[in-house]
Amino acid sequence: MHTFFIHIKNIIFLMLLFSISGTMNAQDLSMAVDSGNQQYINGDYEAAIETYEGILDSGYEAAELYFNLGNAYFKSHKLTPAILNYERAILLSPNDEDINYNLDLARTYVVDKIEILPRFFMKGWHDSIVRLLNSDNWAYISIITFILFLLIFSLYLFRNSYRIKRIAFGLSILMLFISISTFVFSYHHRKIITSHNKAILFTPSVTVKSSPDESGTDLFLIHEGIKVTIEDSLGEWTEIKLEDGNKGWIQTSDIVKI
Amino acid sequence: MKKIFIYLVITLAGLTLIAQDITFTASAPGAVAVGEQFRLSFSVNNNADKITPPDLRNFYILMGPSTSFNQSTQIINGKMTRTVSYTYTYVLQATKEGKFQIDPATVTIKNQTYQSNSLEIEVVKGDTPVASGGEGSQTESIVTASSEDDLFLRLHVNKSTVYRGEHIVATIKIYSRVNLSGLENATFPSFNGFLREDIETPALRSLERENVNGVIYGTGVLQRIVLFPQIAGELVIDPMELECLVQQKVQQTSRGFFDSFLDSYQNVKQTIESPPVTITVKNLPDGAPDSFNGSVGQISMDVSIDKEQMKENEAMNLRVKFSGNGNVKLTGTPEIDFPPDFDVYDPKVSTNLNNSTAGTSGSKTFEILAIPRHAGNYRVPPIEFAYFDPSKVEYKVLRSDEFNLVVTKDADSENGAVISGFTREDLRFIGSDIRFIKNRKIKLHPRDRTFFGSIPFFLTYLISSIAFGLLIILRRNHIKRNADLNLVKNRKANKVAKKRLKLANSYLQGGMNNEFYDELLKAFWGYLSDKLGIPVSELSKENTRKELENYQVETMVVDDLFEIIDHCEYARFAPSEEVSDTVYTFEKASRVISLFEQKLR
Repeated sequence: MHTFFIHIKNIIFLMLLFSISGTMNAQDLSMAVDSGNQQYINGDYEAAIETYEGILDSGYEAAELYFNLGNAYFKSHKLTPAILNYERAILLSPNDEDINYNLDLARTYVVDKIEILPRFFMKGWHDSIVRLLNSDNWAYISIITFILFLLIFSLYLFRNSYRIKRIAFGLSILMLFISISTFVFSYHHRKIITSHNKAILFTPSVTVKSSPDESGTDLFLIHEGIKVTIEDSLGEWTEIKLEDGNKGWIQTSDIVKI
Repeated sequence: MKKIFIYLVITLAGLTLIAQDITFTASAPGAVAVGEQFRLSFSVNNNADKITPPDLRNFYILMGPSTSFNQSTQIINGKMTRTVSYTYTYVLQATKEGKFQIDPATVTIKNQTYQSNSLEIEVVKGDTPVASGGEGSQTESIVTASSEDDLFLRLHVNKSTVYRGEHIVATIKIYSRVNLSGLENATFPSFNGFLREDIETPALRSLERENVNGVIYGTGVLQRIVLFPQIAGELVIDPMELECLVQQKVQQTSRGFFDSFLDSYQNVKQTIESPPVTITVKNLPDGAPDSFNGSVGQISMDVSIDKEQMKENEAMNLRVKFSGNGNVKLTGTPEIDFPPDFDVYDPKVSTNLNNSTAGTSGSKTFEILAIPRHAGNYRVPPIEFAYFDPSKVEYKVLRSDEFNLVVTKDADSENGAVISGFTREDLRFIGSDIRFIKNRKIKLHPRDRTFFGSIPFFLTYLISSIAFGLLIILRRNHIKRNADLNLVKNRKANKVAKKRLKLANSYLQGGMNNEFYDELLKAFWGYLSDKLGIPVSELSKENTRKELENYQVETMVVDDLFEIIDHCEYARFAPSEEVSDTVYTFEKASRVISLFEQKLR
């Protein structure tokens, strides 16, 4: 009993530590974000790009930061990095309307028009549900519903009344189900964010080869700004897959991971 | 006056001749018959101080040397050219058969010695004097009708076994022992299976003497042709036809004095044919490289590019030049792997070829115009060209350098390039702008770190689960302990109640009614508390009744119980003196308790 309370104390301390360290660094950088925004408003896009990139270099990120950086690139006529940063922003904040709008606009400048293959509808649903919230939000929901599940389940265990037991059991199972599914969603969204298996082509035009070799047969030609999925890599070569399902090898240096 | 001028010119010419190059040549027919007279002449284009003839002991010198002088002056567009020639002529007669070498003669001009060329003269046994179209044939021809042997046509080839694509030089020659006055209607063979290239051949003016199997013929080359066989196998070159006008002496019946000087001739048309020639064409050996495209010969390749750095939409020129000896003319456009983003136009082809007895040589140049449409670094892979070298019987592969092209963005056309892909509707869309930046408070978080998977995340699950488990354990223990206590109490309840009833009974005997009722109430409440597991302090009539109903005790018994309790409570404050009443109550209480004992097990 005594040790249990010591545990709780430790955990609370740890949590505090985390939140404090997080806010401290964020405070240092939020000033930089503000100055970057100010530079953007003043029309000094190059300076804004530098400021934003500096913040990103320190290992911190935010959907809004990527969005602002993308805008700065767009305004200085660098469309490919703009697309890259919008894509990064959309990963972190999948349902942001502004990001989607700007990304769509930037994409109209991409030379290649790719027809996106239809996916299995269940996977489509799953993906669209996962993208409703970001990983953190799903995780919070999962934890809250888990605790609710425990509380309601203990009601079921300790209450003698049959009616209360029945309702409590049903509710607790529902909570458990929600908790597990949001756990899965959180996991999936985290995977989407951290796997970095999508990339944007940065070289103005690249011939995709059938094998990771200069002598490989030329398959098709793609132009900068196109989004590809990284399938495999070998030495300096990366196997990519387009959204229309076409696959091939290009030099790793031609692409930048999202 | 005019004569004086000419003489002046001649003397001046003589002065200026010194500066000219000296040429000293010997000439004689290549073949003569025994007993035939012929001329050997040495000519030099300057006045010779001394000329030393070669040893001529194999021949009988009939006459000579006789000297002749020849001079000509030309004025063309004010430019004067003069040629002077001194000729020393011997008239010789061949005495015996065989091949004889005439060594060079030497001439000394202004203390300098020059040598002529050497000659070879073949002397054949000749019984019949030969008619010749050439000079110096004073012999009378008595030929009246030319036979097959006197006039024929031959097609010579320099090789009869060749590889496919390897060149052959065919020479069409006429052989004649009769006087010819003209050649007409030459029909050249069709040369099926060959690519034919004519070599420029000077028009036939005079025939040269040549020994053919011991007979001297006047010969002349009609045409030289370079042939490239295109298919393998035994190829036959069809006969060539030629109409010849042969001069024939007309025998005249009345021969006057002058007739012997003025012979009358008539031209007779005669058609001659060359025999067909078979050429064996071998297929090229196996193992041809991939880039081999049928080129045969000795060929070199030169690839150049006009610039390696350019802007978008700026044209560049790639030049591929094939030169050498062989079927260069047939070389196709080289395959060049331009990056797909390049607009490549049809090549401009220029050929500069020259046919000679050595085959066809020269160059073929391809100029290819390409325009890069997008910026970037491109690589034009090496151009490969393979040919077959028939002299070494092997394939050779030529490989150019690869080109690395740097295409930079054209700053002026940046917008233009973007717009090119749009329809009108899309253009309107460009007018719109991106949404403004998010200027609100931004919450930064470390990259790739999500709450999911972090230690606090899992700890929350763990702690809440542990807390839940502990709660269950505590609750279990509590219930267990309570259950134990109740069990003991339950077991002892009857005993306690009986003890109390006994005590109450003793009070009753003693007449202490107050204590009796008090004890009786205690017995009841204590019993109910123990049996129902509810502390005495929490017992009330209402919850007791409810609990008992749960135990399914009959209402009558419960009513009896509460009647006794009510009576007891009432009696405590309003004591009744009747003994029977108290005895009755006691008995009733004993009965109720025993009834409960049966129900509340």
